[in-house]
Amino acid sequence: MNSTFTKVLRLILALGLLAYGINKFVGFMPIPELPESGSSFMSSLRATGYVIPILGILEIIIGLLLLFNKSVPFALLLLAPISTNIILFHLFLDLPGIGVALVIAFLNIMLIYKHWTVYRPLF
Amino acid sequence: MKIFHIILRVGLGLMLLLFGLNKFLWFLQDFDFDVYPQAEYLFNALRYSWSEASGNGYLMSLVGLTEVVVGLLLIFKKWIPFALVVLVPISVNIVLFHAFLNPPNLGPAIVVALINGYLMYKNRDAFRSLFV
Repeated sequence: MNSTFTKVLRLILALGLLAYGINKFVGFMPIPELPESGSSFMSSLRATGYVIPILGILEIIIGLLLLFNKSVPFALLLLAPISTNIILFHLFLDLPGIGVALVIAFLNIMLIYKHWTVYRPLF
Repeated sequence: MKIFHIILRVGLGLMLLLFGLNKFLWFLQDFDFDVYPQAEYLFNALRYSWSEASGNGYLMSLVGLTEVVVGLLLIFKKWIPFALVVLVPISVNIVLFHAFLNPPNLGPAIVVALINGYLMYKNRDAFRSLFV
């Protein structure tokens, strides 16, 4: 749970989430080219007005919790639905861009696995 | 109080089962989104990923499947804390969806979220270890 390896995984995930979270407000990353169905799905999410900012805020909160090693199991749980949805989005609507999604989901799963004893009482 | 909790748990379970199955069988009446174009867009995105009938409406199936699984877990009293945690993102999103895009149907969304929250509070011991 506290090995250097786990710590490195946690910090990589934290920084990645912070970057993507802040990007939803500041927009410093290049905008990826999406296939038609993927881009119309994204624009419908943007049209709601609330989905993208809330996603960004969650990513920043989770990133900070992971970065500062606070309530890590809770942060990982908050991230799980987000990981699931980025994987599915890319799987169904933008397969070529699935790389980063796989890394985030992999880190999320690995870290949950490392903290598994904490999740035992849920079952 | 005990019977009250059983009613809440089973009631929530049945409600989720109903809404979950509806996402595959569509037996309930569709919402009327005439004056809520953004809600209509979002719903079409969920069902068809917005390119009409592209067959990639994975998100509606995901929500439906999750509601069915959580509903069954609640009804059969299995892995209750886990079921409640899995329900949280759905509760949050139905409340946000109706609050921002379709206020007239906000009621049932708030009921689901409140029962979800209350039952989590009742099971709070199971969640304590997550905040170390």
